[in-house]
Amino acid sequence: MLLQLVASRADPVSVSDVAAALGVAKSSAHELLRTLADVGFLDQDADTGRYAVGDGARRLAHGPLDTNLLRSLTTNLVDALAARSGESAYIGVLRGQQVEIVHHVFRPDDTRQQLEVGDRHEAHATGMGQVLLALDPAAPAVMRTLDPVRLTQRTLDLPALRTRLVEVRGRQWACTAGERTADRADVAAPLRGRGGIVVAAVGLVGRVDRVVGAHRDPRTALLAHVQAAAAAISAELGATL
Amino acid sequence: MVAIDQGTTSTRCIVFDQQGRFVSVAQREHRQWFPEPGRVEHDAAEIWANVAKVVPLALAKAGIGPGDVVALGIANQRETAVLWDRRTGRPQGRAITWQDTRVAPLLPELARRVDDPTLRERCGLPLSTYATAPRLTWLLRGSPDLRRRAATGDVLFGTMETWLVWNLTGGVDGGVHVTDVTNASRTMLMDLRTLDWDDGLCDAFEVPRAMLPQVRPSATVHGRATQVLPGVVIGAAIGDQQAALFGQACFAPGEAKCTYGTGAFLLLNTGSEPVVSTHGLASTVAFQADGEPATYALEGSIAMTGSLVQWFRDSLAMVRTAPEIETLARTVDDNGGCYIVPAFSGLFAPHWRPEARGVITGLTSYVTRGHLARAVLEATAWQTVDVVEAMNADAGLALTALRVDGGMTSNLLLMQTVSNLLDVPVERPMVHETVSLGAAYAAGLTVGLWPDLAVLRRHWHCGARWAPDLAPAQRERERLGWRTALAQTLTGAAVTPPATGPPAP
Repeated sequence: MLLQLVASRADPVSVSDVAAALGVAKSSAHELLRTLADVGFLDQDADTGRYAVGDGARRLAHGPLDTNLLRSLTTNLVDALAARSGESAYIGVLRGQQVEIVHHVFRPDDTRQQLEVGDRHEAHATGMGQVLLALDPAAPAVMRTLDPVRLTQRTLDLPALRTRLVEVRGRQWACTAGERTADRADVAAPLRGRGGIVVAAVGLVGRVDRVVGAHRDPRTALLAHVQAAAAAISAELGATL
Repeated sequence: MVAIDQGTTSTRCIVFDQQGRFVSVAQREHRQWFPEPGRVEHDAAEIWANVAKVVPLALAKAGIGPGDVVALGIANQRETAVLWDRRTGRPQGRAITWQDTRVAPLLPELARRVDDPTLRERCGLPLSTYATAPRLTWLLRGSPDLRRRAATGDVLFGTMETWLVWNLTGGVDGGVHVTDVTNASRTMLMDLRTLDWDDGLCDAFEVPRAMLPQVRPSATVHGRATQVLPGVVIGAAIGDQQAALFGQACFAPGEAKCTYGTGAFLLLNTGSEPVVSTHGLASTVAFQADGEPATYALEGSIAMTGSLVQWFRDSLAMVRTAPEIETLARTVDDNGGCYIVPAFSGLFAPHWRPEARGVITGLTSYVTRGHLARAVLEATAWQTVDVVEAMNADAGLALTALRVDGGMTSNLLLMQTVSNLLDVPVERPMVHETVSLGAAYAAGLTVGLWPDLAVLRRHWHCGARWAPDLAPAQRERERLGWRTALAQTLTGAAVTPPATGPPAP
């Protein structure tokens, strides 16, 4: 209703306008306006302090995040992730029960590699997928019908997956080793847009022995690279998406 | 390693580590002055001030001090002319940039003094508003005072790297007045073979030798900074497109890179001899290390690539953001018979038909926004093909792979299309910042941080690769469609406009 009020006015509105129109105290009106401004639904004019409809609200009409836009915003930082970690770097988004690769940077070892953009993998069996199943706004609906296919000996069944997702939610990263294919391991972390909403995941994929240690924990340096990349990319996305 | 990339819209400082990996960046935009239509100027003093700001910022982000810097390399926007007073260090008017077309009316007269074949043979460039020399003619004709002080060497000329090196090495207090062969090769005053100023060309453009900087190799000790990075060796200065070629490790004849931005710049390494183009390309110096012969390149520039996508976004409102053109293009499988030739201000390399105007061909009721989006992307790919084919013909060799960089390389459909239509693999490097990287590489070679080109070649890693995936017959059908559309840009221009204008609103 507050958004409708602001959108219906030709000129930006002040806190008093809103308080009067809604019949609430100025302090309450201020708090409501600030909340909407913080998530980008309203823009506040730096000089007059008045509010107008922000890009965030307009974007609601545009549907889901465009993955080509996402890739172009993140290219430099994903390049740096691959260069520093020495492993292949990816960005993935949740598509139903699968994670779709929307960006891929080759491992910097000069072996011939294939671009994997557009490939889809079972979300429950990959690090990026588990990050998204734990944190993506669409995940609760997906989880209600998920029947995890067993791809390797290490693929988690539903109860184990639920336990894992609780851990992922707590630590804000995921690591799988041999859960999708026996020889691959990965580390992934969430990417957040404006308002802190998880929009995608960033991750590294490599040989099991290179990515995880003896206890199938991610190697410290690789986890740090992924977390640093996720923070830097989220800062970028938070400012634009 | 620290690189300064003094570009058209901004000045950036990038710190690289010993493996040539990106560490930190700081950037500052400068004001674009448009005093009259066709005029585009920069304030050289503002740009120098920005250098003094971004360098300490980038060092701070990297957590290092000037003492940790091995050497500095400079890459710069080319062809932009700066004049300044040797005694006060003050710029004489604003810098006239490479996009500025004010000298167009001078060109017919200049063409009578020095004919096109001589020009191409001697300096490698066709007479155009791009090169620096006609700007100097214009500036000195406009002010007898400036001409007098230029003749005595009290007013100095430089492109951007010259201005920055002079200031970094002390300015009025002992500043070094030098340029490098790549920048000098874009002025239209340098002989491509002697790698020095040409008296005949200087006379033709009325440029006194006293105002010109000394021409040096790209990778050499240009001086030691006393400002901004005190004590640090300036180990390289190189034009931005040549820097990108170097940063892409295109060190051998036959290796080429294309930078896709607003426009696109394709450079092909042609080895130790300049190739005089008979197919509408420029011949230019690619690189020279201290004490070594120069490496040359053929260059073809494409005016409208990213700017065509911007037009599609802003003027036609077909997409919200430029990257979303890929989403729209992928809603269909092909161009639906539709072709767009973006000859908005004529056809450039390799056709050079200024009278041509853009066309959209093959419109039927079947064609949707998605087909138009495909045609926009294919226009960039076909323009690349046209320049590459001209290069192959000039150089007498066939390109076997194309290295790409620039913002449009994140458009995967475009990159696949370029590969399909060129019928060679297209490769994107892992380090996106090829201009700065090229300047850092060149400076690192000078000071011995990296022993040779072989080591630098090993730094290049492929970030993504696209292999051709189109049947030859299909490619030829598409080529016919593009060629037909191209021909119509010329017939369209020949039709006389109606005598009366459109009705007044």
